[in-house]
Amino acid sequence: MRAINWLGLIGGVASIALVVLSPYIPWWRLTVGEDLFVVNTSPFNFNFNFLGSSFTIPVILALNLSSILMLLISGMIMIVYSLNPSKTYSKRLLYFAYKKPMYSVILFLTGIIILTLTLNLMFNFNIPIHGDSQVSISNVAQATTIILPVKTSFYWPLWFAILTAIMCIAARIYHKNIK
Amino acid sequence: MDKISIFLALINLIVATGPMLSILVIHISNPIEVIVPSEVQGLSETLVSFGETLQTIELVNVTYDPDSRTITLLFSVISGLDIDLRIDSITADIVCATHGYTLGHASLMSPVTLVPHINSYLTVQSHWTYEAEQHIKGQHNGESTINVNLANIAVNVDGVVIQTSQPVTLTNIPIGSLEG
Repeated sequence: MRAINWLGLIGGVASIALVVLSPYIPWWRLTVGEDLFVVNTSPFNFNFNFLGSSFTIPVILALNLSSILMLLISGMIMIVYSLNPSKTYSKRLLYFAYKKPMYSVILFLTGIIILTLTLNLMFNFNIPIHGDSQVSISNVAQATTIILPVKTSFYWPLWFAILTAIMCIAARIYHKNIK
Repeated sequence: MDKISIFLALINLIVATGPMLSILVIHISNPIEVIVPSEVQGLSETLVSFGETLQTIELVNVTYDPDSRTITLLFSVISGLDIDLRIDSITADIVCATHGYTLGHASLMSPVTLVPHINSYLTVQSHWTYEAEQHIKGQHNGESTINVNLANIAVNVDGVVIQTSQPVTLTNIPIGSLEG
């Protein structure tokens, strides 16, 4: 019977599914007020909306495109490997593909942590990684204070990405058992 | 190094650098746009529109009902933004501009949605207290109108609260039959 690395196959399909899903559902969302200012983000998509004006930043778009292509290709390579795990070239395919979902998750979470820490340290904006808070901006000259309710949340594609990364690492470990 | 390893290394290189190089080539005439896109101009226009919206707020009518001691202020506002803005609440203290005496507390009757570029109306009501009546009868005897300050104004726009301790003066507020 032909050997198949099922964990790798699931990981590969999940990687492709993750790329397809991410434009529709963000991994992390920041909302100020009732959708006055919204940031939807994932390694594959970044969307910024302020009072109805939305735009993308080209440098982030380039990083998003790289992430999309990288995970799509690694997903496909993971599937090719998983269907032929005992071929001589398979190990190279596996080593190329299995770390990519993990890198996406780690780099994304690192980016979110750096962003919230930077806002906190530079502007004293207490923005949680996941939860609710209030940011207060005072203009002493105009005797005005603006109180902004801030809400941040992780969404299920992040947990799906973590699961995908675990599947791919498990496929790498399971590979030792495939003769 | 075999062919597969070279192929995979090439994929890594092309995927990691290709999109970034393409973006740089697209914006070669204005490289700063790679980080600060031209749409940021639209963002500053949005901020200006928001500021202009606040400046269009105008008191258009004041009525006073002596039976219920209720003063009703009707404000008009034109939103310069391209999205609906919901004013959830407005609160302020109404203070006699001459004597600094607190006459009552004003609040928005019901939430109002500001539709882009169309006149919207905000109805703010306040009930004069008994003490306010006595103040007007005692200090403004013979006057048909008084000037008041709106102090400690707080406006809730789509969940964002804007507070100012800078008073806004409203002139010629009718006091009708209150005068002694």
